[in-house]
Amino acid sequence: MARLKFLCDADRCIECNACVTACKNEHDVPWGINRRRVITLNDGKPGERSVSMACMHCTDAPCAAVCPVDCFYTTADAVVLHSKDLCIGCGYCFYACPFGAPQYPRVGNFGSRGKMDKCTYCAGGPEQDGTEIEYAKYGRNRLQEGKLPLCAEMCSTKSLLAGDGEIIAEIYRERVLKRGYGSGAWGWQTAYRETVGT
Amino acid sequence: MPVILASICVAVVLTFVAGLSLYSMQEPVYQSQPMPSVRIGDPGHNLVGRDWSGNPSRKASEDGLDKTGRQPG
Amino acid sequence: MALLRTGWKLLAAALLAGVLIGVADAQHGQDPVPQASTASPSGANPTGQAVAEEQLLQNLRKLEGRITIPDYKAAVLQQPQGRNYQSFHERLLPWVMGVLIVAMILGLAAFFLWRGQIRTEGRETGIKIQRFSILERANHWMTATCFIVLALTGLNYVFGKRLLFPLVGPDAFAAVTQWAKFAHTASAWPFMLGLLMMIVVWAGSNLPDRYDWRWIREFGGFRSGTHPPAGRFNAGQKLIFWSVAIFGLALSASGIMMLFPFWTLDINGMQWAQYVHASAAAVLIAVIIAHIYIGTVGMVGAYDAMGSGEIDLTWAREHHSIWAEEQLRRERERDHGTSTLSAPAE
Repeated sequence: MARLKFLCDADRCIECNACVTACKNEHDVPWGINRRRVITLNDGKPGERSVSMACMHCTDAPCAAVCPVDCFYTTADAVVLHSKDLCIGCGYCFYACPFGAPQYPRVGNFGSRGKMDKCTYCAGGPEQDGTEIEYAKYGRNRLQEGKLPLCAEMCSTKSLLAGDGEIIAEIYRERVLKRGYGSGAWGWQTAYRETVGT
Repeated sequence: MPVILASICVAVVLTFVAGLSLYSMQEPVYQSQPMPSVRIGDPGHNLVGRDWSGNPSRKASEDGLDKTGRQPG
Repeated sequence: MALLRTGWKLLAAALLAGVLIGVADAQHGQDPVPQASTASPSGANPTGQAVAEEQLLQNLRKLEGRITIPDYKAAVLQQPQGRNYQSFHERLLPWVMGVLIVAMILGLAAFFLWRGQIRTEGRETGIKIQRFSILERANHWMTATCFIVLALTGLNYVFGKRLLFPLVGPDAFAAVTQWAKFAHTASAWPFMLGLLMMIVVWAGSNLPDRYDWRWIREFGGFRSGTHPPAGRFNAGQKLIFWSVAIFGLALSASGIMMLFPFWTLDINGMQWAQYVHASAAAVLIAVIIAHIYIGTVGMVGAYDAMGSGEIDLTWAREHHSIWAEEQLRRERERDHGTSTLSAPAE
């Protein structure tokens, strides 16, 4: 069985935000919810790096662990998804997430922050695959069509890789070897407790 | 005893007042984080998907949308 | 001296050579940091000046950059402290909270079985004096009601998915927890109001006085067998008051921070708000369980103080002797209409 992961090659990312646009468009993500975003470190200085960040679908996901209503589940491909029906909008998953993936539609915490929304690896949610209700709640389910997440498909420099962890780690390793440099697989140590040997 | 019951009533009333007034003060993210150069319409209760009302039990077809969640035609 | 001059010349020559070689080297690569590779066509190493993720994490503990969206907290690329939060919330907290509460309940049960109810030793006179005014009582019961709601809904956050979820299933549990959340965040406000009123009205009477140390040493009379003197509030009650005041204020402050997420705190600050809130709650719930015990089952006559506001004179003389005498003296003065104070000099 594949173990799906994201890998963003920070040396290739040009901050074009195609991944962000693709995700927003495909899932009709409303204003204010940012499933994927591009963060630039050392902006304008030598050594500037941009990293595209969304949910990393961690091993032993902290969000899933701290949820007081246990609304998260992990699929067979190790994609971390949640149920918006059970979500109470408490915000704990955001405190636990090392990458800031959970998004909430409301600002204050009185009553509820609204149903949490996050990157689904284009794998939908607990509703039946490919139904309109699944699209309405969680966005497009590409995985059940055998396709990879759209952000990685749309990446203009192929810096954002998505797919089986072994395969994309190997791609990245080959790249680093061929070009001679690589700043590493950002987030892999925290998310998957492993690094890509470069 | 009557003091205790009255106090419980006061607690419940204040709880409701606090809850309702704060809930009405709450801002959705699209309102609290606007960008000055973009003018957007109110997306309604859309959380994900075109025109989703926020009610998880409603089907998209009830909103007059097609299988992909878009307006037909 | 000549040797020294030669030595300096040699050193200068070596330095000059080194600098020239270094400058010459630098012409090949743009950056002094290694990780150079022969495969790179231009010879440039763009990663050379970038710091690796591990290094950044070691130095900064949290990685932040610039973003193009107005949600400023999205600028945090990585905060590994989220894993610490996971560990606290899922491992440390349930154990500490569970142990504190269960230990308190078991301890009180054991105490009750050993000592039984603390009864009034003297005969009840039937004469009642007022202990708490109607405002004090109303405020206490309002705050107490809110506290019960807050404690139960708060415990549901920690233990709900472990204890209640297996009984009722996911949908019912999520619905209950949703309403529990509304109740928790809303009843916090009357609780905070009542807490402030309590502090304002009772802080003065709860300041340490000269009877407290003896009361503590005699453990309220358990060790000596006789009731030590006490003012309006004995040392045990003062401990309860200050626990409620301090932990209650801590809960209020951290709770408000969580009600307005990221208003003044960043992600690590929000995690700390959670740590403070949960820890203070664990301690305060245990303390209040003891308070409820002693005020209802634990001691005969204690409930009346807050229930009806009036307590029997014998009970007052036994448990709060100094205060009881003062209250009697005041009543006598009121009845007689005279003052024991000397008249003004004029």
